[in-house]
Amino acid sequence: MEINNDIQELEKRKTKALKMGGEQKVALQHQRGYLSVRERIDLLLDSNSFFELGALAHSDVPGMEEKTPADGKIGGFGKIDDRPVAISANDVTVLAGSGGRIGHKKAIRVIEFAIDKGFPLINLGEAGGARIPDIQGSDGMSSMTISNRVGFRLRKIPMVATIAGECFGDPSWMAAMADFVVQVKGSCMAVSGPRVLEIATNEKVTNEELGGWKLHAETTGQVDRTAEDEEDCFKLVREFLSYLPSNSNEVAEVAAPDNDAILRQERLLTILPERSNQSYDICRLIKTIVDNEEIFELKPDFAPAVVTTLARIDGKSVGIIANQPSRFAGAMGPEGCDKCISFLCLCDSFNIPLIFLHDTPGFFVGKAAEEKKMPGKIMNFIQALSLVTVPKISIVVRKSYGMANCNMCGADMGADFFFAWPSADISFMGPEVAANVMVGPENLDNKDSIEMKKAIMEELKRVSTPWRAAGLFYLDDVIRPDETRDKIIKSLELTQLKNQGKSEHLLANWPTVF
Amino acid sequence: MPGKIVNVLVQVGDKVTRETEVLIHEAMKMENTIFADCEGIVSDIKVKVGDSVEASQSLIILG
Repeated sequence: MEINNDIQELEKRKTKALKMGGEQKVALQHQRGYLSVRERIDLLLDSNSFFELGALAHSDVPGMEEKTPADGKIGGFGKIDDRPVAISANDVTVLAGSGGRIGHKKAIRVIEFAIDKGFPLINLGEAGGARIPDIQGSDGMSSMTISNRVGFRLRKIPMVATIAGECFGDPSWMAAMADFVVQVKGSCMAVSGPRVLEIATNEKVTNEELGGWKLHAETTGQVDRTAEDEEDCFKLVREFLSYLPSNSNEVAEVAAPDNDAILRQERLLTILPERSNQSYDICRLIKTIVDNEEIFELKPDFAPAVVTTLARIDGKSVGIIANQPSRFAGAMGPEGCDKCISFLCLCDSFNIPLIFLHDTPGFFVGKAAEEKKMPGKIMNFIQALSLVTVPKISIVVRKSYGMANCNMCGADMGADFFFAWPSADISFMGPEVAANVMVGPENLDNKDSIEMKKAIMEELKRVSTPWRAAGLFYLDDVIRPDETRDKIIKSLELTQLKNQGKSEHLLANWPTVF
Repeated sequence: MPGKIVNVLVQVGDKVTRETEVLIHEAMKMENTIFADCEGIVSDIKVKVGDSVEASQSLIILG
């Protein structure tokens, strides 16, 4: 019967598409230690939830139809924790994952659909860039621009990008626009690969040097997390999305609260070291306060003097910006400012309230910081902060000096609530540095000056305690460390009452990389 | 980061791991603990208490 023949033809075509670039290419991919794109999608999504579009698509270049299953780009929808997501993924087994016109058209279709309907987009990257010769020539180039529609996103939906294998061109562009990027160890993310560079500029460089995980995790900050392998990578993606709403019009789902959290709050009474110049791990303090002692740090190895982390308090997603005294004294440099700005953009765009925990001796100063435009970075941070319209709760744990006090959302910086622990030490600069300035460097060795400096330091220490700021109502309150969590819960209730504390999204078009 | 060495916690011949605290360095009036970069045996200590140090300077050589 004719109908059966038609169905057989459909099955034949679908089966061919599912085989991707063919058994040999898939086996090669496995040999290299990587999954095929369809295995990736299965591992990432809830089981049997993939709803594919364009499986039967192929290249529009005559003669290439059979060699380009799905045109090397898998697109569609699926679910993660039962919530819809959109997937756009490179198939490296089809002409090295190079981008063709039809594959590009499929990707744009999925991206625009996800933005329009309001759910996260996940780009699974592994590709060598645009397909040659398809993109060559004035017609080729004009037919395959990235498209203005790709650049126009306004952070309406969370966008995630994963980097596995070699990623040049398309997957790197997608990662640069994403809210969350995971790079698998051993992979490379760059504009062009070593083979192109060797011919174009004679530069000899390895994948690791050009775009390895260490470079991006520690130096460029262009990836948010590094994964040991692909399984770890997809686990991180699922975990990240659990803290976010599906789109900018929603707030994140409220998880079950942690009823045992109250029992560990007394730890906070002894969490600070004895001497004020001793360091400690701020993550221990954060974990004590948040649900299940769980944090999800972004860019943990980039600018580690400041911690930017997602967490939950009483089941609600929160974003925490905290100085890290155990790394670089907790003094943020230019990269630290960039890290904070990107986190402000993420939280503000997806209606996640922000909590600031101050313990910083000030910004990192000196020649190295100035060479990287320190004043500009600090003020970019201030401008971004002034555009944040999600609830903001600011708490001074210990030191909060100078301009860093302003950037960490000090007095009159827009916090909905501004609290301090009794241990707070708020001033323009540390007492010793300030006393040196007041005595004058030329007098430092003179005996009278030493006495004078001591007296000045004592007085400066006294006035840096939180009591003066509380007395003049710069601080809303001075709180016991062990009531921090409770104060945050109550502050969130008050700030999220109207409109669930949703943002006005004034940071929606702030650049994603800067 | 630039700063001053305030304590040296190892001696030549000591065995260290990535968890070993080797130096206390002070910058921005804050103490910063410096850990060994890798496992090994201390073969040379290039700094002493009170020394000013720069970023990227070698402090301790592991053999």
